[in-house]
Amino acid sequence: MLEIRNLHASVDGKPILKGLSLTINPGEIHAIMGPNGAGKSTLAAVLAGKEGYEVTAGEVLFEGQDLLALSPEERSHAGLFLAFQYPVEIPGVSMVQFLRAALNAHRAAKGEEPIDTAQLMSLLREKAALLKLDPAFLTRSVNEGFSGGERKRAEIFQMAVLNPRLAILDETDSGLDIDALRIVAEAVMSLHRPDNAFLVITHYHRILQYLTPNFVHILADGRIVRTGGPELALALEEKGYEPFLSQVV
Amino acid sequence: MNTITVTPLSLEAGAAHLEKLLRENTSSLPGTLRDKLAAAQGPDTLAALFPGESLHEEWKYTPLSILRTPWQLGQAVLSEEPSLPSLPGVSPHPIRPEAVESSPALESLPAPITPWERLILSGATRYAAATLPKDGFYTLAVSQPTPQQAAPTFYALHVPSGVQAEVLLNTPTHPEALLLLQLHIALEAGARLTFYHAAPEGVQGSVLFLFSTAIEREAHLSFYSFPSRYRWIRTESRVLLTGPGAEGLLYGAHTPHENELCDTAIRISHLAPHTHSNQLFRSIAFKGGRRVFLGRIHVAREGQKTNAYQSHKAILWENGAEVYSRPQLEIFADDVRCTHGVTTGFLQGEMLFYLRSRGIPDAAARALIAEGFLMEALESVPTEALRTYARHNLGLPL
Amino acid sequence: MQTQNHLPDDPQAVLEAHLEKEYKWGFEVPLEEELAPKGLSEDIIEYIWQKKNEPPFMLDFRMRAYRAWKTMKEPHWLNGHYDPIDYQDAYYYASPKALSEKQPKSLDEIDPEIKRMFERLGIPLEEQAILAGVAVDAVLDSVSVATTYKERLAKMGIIFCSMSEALQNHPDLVKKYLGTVVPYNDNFFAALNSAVFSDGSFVYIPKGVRCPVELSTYFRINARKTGQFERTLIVADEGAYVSYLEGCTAPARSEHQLHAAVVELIALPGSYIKYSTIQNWYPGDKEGRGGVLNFVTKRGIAHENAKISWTQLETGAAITWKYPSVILKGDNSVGEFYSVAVTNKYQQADTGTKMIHIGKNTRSRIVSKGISAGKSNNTYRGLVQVLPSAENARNFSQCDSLLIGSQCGAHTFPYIETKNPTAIVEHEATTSRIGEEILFYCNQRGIPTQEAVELIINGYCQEVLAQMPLEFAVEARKLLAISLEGSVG
Repeated sequence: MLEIRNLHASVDGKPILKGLSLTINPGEIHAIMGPNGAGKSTLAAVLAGKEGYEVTAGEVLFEGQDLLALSPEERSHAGLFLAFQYPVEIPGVSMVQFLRAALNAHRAAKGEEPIDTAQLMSLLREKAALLKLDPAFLTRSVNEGFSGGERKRAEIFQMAVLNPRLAILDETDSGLDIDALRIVAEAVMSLHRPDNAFLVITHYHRILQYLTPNFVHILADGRIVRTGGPELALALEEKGYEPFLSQVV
Repeated sequence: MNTITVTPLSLEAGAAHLEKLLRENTSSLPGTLRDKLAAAQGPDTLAALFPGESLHEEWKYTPLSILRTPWQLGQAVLSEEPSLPSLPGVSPHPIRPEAVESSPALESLPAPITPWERLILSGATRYAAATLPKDGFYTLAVSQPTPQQAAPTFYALHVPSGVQAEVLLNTPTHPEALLLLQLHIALEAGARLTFYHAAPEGVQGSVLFLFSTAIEREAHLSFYSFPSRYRWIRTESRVLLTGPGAEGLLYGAHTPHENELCDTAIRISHLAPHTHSNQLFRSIAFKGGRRVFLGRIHVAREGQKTNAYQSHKAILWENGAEVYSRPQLEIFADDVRCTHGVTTGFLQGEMLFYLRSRGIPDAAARALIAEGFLMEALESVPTEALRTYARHNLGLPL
Repeated sequence: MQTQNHLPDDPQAVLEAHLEKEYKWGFEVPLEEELAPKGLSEDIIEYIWQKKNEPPFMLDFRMRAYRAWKTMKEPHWLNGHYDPIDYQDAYYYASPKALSEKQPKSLDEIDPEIKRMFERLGIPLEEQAILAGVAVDAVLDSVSVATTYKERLAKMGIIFCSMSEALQNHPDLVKKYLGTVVPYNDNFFAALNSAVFSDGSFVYIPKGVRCPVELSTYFRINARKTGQFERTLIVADEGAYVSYLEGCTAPARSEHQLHAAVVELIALPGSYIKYSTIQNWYPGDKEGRGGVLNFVTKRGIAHENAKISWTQLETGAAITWKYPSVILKGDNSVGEFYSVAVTNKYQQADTGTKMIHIGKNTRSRIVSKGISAGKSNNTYRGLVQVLPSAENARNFSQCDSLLIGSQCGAHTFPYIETKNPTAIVEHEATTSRIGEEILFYCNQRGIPTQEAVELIINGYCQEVLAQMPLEFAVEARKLLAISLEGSVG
């Protein structure tokens, strides 16, 4: 579904990703871990199409399409979702309005009719219940009055509503307490199907206790230096990043 | 102290009289200042302050009593002594005066715009300049002790790169005297200055204090103003933030009493990116007292990523007090964070009741709340002795 | 064009039939002279009074206003710039027939830019005709709709008609209230208006009556042309309620360079007047030229326990000087001001409000949202005045500026004058922009940038739009979207 080949990317002229390659197939859950500054958030930003990042070499194919040639909203329509590390507030715009606009934009891209209100509300309430969020938040402005942890949960809620093919979770676990973490992980697992995939970017292995990944990659100095199964995460927990950085894939 | 009774002049006659005094006194005008004058723009005469029946926008709420007095020209007394009770733990350095023409501060002196700047520049009876040689605490007094006299004074202060200093300015003025002081402070890159305009003891006269400053990159100015008991005082501050990282923070606690006018007019211009300003003011106006506040934040197109804040809170202590507040924003850059807020309110009943329920009598409770309110503006004063002095000289009735 | 579907078979006959109705108002329609000579003088004032067949008190009113105007000076402190106006180079009276002759005969004669705007705003063709000032009366449907409403309102004792009609049919009511809120010598443009006003609206709601419909100038036939000197007077008697809508999203066309209008609201004890405005001035050319100078004195007086709300959305190429005010005279009275002012390209707006607190326990609330884009300048100028008698006055003001792009300007100049120690006045202002982070967040969810900008701006203006009557709010949102098209690259 997602093929990243030898991706090089810079920010402000400074190279961050230095030849990253990764393949994600449908049904898979991949975890990317790495020390700070390794390029984890850069990878997420480049895949989602954020401005300010220059791709200097390499290519990314998403469902056979050249992902880098698409605008951010086109990437979303193609089925890509990014759960932001620091989601912003949108004053005066309620979650209902926001998701209605997003859903309708997705539908328009497919040549479908806009969603009707009754359908929309029942969808939103259903997904709110999945994330154990009080539906009252739907009429408040997007992310207004939410703590960091609540915002992360709201991101997963949006993911549930938009139902993407590939969801990138950018450090979703940071700032969550044990209970919230479990709720989020359980929601993700329940959304997991053979035809979608997840890329979980994380610094700690806590979330991986609830979300069993198929593959764990260590990202260091802009490249993936080690790939393994779930046991790799445990090894990281015990020994830290050091031992793995000196090795070469 | 003699009280001299004088027949007040009409506004026009008074303005003309003062103008004549100042214009004719151009004997000792230094060359460099003459050039600055040549670059002057804007209205030339004091009469421009009251075209027709309304006052000029900048002076909209300010009574022009200083224009109604038949002043004579006098000279201010410059002294290194603060003429304040000595401040424990503070050993001030003297400020050595130097020739005005050679002061590097003059380069950044903004071209005069208002008639006052022009008149003081051309007609000052005293021109002075100084450079702060090193880190330390300095004091300066510009006083006008002679009644019936107006003393126009120009002073330029230069703070070289990297110097960290505090300067305490005192302006004791005879109740029947007028001090016209223009002070320009140039802060070179990386300089840090904390500047105080303090309250002398006893009732004071009239002061027009034009304060301008150019703050270069990474330089910092904190200006604390707490002049109490002036019959008429207007502080006009023009702050120019000219380099990235420049910071201008203005604070003030003011308490105009009966027949007193306390007027603050501020214009902070952000002319470079990543600059920061703050205006934090607290006022209490008493019966017959008038507090006027004009705080303008101007962000030029080059001032992206600016942070500018302003907060002015005022309390009218009793009937007959008046507060006029104008917070203004002129923004030409979009990536900025600017907020301003103004509140006029009264002493909250619950707060008062809480103190009284603890046994504190009404008057003392009010005084306590008022002091706490005013000190909000001055709590960041770095030198403790000054903070204490300020607290005891806020001009609050006991 | 498809106008044929909606026009009756014999337009000329219908037109003539309607003109006959106007004769009922007592107009003479001289065949030779339909325009008064150019310029302004006491003779012209008398000519106007006579031509309109107004009651005697009006001659006095107009004449005093004219004499006062002659002693006044044109104000010139605007942040914007305009060329000097030659007051003698204009016609101050034109008969209805003369006016109708100047109107376009069909939609084909209308500026294609304006037609395009109608289409974008989704306005049906008959409405387009009315809005463009096509001889309205030739469109049967609207005439009948208007008549039904007027009958219904008349049954409740509600008077809603043109000023000219009111001066014929209800002269005592007009005499009692005209000029009591905005005296003829209040300011330069109010004086000019009082001397030469041509027409406007008059509304009277009797005691205890709640007007069941939103009153809109739409229902006044021929109201769509933007009169150069319009005069509106709205009186809500004790305990009454009325919601009045002015303007619409379609661009107001005007041949006049100068508009000087006066709106007076009188809210008697216990009543509530809600006045909503959507003003979309003709966008002018790309450089913003061809715009209109719009000076409006809008003021309301609220008596005991009464409330007045001003809600407005302003956009377009006009130099606007407009400060809807509320005089909070009665105890417990309430004044509100909600405004969205949008400027784009080279436009300039100078808007704001005045709240004067006189009675006890008065409250005012000001929410002003400015949006500047392109190379425009948006200025808020407001006054909150608390007089010594205003015990326990409360004011809250929020003035926000949203800047789009780095070439525009936003300015706030509030004036706060407090003379009563028990009053609490709070004013806050913030500036913001539509940052890349917010746009990227919306993009990532699949929302294209232009739509995201609309969404964000709607959110920004939400508090103001929520105050508008529903249909108006829907139009307002559309207008917001169109005015800011292409502003975020």
